[in-house]
Amino acid sequence: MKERRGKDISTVPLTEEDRVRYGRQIIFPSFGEEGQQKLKQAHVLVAGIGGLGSPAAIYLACAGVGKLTLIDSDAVELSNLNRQILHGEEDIGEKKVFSAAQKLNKLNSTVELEPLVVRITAEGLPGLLHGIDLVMDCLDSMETRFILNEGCVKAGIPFIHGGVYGMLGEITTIIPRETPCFECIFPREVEGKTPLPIFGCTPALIASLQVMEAIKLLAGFGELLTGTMLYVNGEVMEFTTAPLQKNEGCRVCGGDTA
Amino acid sequence: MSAKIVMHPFFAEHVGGNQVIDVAGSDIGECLAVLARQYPAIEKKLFDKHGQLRGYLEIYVNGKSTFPHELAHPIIDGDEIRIIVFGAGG
Repeated sequence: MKERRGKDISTVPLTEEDRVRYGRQIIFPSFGEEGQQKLKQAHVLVAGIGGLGSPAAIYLACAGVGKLTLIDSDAVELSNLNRQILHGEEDIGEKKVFSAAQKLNKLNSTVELEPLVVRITAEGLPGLLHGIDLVMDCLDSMETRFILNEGCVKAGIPFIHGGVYGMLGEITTIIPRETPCFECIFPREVEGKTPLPIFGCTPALIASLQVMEAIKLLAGFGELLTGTMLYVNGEVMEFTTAPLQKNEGCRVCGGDTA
Repeated sequence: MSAKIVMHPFFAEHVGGNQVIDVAGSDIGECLAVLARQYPAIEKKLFDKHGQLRGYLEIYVNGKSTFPHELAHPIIDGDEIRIIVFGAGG
């Protein structure tokens, strides 16, 4: 893990209501009003509004991130409801991004929400990344993660990877040109088995950690989980970190160092 | 048959930090048994209490998935076995 300075973004003034709403985080010494202003200025893309994306979007919205773009092309199904906590029984059949935006607006109406029913493709991704400060990888597909990783590396946008299986979860923060990228870590051949087992508490935990990383990265304090994968294995209640190495032969970022 | 196992970072502390380990065996199951004899702490990481390969692991040989019959997959001299922790859900 390494220290990182916050992104140099212009700040926006806080309202008196902001000072009250976010008061308990503003009093955190390394965050303060300046940190809150940086969150308010930020535009975060949440890729996938399922098990990871639901709690991630909730905590980003509640923390006061100024704008959230929500991307998912799927509709809510009954089998989603053990873990995708932005959706309920009445939302079955509804597109996830609209179901999510409705709940998020109730939680914090001051956050600008952009729900998009799109599939992430290599062709369409550059347009989706325009103006984005940070991407939250809350996807359930390796293939789409590779596309998102490549787009973020090309655009120089930080990317917080989260993934889960049963009670196992993993998270790392990828900073283009500084850290190993997703394709340094996983060979592109990875296909995977479906459907994957998942308990709702696992993505809830991993998404919370992703949002911790997001807040630190956007506000510019603390240490980030860069160059390191954190594994949480709830089955044996074990937390493990493993160093990640840049693959100099990586097709996406190989040789591209700061 | 001799092969190399490329270890995922998840296992680093259980295999002395080695990224590549030489093993021998006629299939992946035998190669993993050799690995577990050399590094006993890895066994619980690879297998559950019923001896089944843990569900979050993927095993590739020369870049090809061996799912769903990973342990029975035959190995020939020079194969590269890669173990990947696969927390791919979201």
